[in-house]
Amino acid sequence: MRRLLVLVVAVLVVLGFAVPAGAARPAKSQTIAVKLTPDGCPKPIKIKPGSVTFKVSNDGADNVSEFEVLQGGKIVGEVENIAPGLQRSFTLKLKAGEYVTYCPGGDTREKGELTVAAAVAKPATTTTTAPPSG
Amino acid sequence: MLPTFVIGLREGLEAALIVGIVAAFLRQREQTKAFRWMWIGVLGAVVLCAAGGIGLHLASEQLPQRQQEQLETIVGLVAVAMITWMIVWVHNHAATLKDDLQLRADVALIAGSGAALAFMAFLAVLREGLETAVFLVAAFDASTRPALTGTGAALGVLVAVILGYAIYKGGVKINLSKFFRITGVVLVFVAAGLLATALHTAHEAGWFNSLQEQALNLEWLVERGSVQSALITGMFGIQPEPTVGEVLVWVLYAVPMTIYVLRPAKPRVKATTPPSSPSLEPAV
Repeated sequence: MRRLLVLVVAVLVVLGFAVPAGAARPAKSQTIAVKLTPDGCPKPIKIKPGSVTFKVSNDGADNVSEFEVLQGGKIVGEVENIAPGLQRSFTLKLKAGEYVTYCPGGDTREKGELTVAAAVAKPATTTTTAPPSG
Repeated sequence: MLPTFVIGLREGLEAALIVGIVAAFLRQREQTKAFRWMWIGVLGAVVLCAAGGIGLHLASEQLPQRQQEQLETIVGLVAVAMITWMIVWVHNHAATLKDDLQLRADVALIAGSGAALAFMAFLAVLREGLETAVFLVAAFDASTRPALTGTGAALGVLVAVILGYAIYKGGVKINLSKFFRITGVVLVFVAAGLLATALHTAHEAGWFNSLQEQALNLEWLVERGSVQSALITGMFGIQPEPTVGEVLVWVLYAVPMTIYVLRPAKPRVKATTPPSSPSLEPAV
């Protein structure tokens, strides 16, 4: 039993704390503001491939507090516990393709679209910024 | 204030519940040494998590969510194994309480596992603590009314701690034989919930991606954002929209274990419980 626990701790330390937290982000990165509403996820998002920071905030949706990015049923990235007034960010490196945004509990838009394409005609929601400030 | 209170309560309960159960068990077993170690471990984990949460904030770093979910999955599975061991122990001893020889053999056995249980409490706090610390910091940093939002979150965690303490107190107050009879069934449901939660976090960790279709809609029971949902999800691991995989492992664990617990430990002990149990249906 003890040996098992020692092993578990070793695994935890490696997994939890030896994390390459945001190691060497590329200088050019996109930042997307994601607002959670009672409806759920934002309207379809279009971005370019590469590094993207999702700044997720909640403007007063009591029923939605989580934002996930999925592809083919797999969670690519997520943030949880975004209560009204709170904001949290996460950064992903996304390749071109179709993704799904998932906001559990949303009334009408529990799932939304996220398109990553090299040549986006009008990246309305996209802003290019310096390295994200968390 | 209420939304952050609910989240604080749920996150806090997931840790406080395991600590409360372990504390009551160690106390009932009169494992004072392990009991003291447990508290040192719990306090140490709290300090570690608080430092981690504040550190991440000061460094403007994001909580590595995937690794966090991986940690929750591993600790969750270890907790299931340990609670299962406690259930078996309790079950075997409900019948052989008066057997002195048996008890003496246990004391030797328990000396090692008491420390392991204390360590489990440490892991349980570590598992939820870092995420809770990050959430608390975010709440006090809210764009609108940060004082109120933060206070709500802190109150939620505080109530969770009080509930954990109440579980411990309640577990100690009731006499030994009742403790053995009652805890068995309750622990089965706690462990089944932990198992389903581990599958949930395993999906979020990127480890498990099958059987993700929604199996049930329990939003009527686990209404998002309600205090009730925080209690049910925090203590029994029941999600508003459980997936096929989550329901499957819940049933596969809960049904045989309930039968095991309700079955008399020895054939000659008279059965006081009817064989058919109302608790065989999944979370309805």
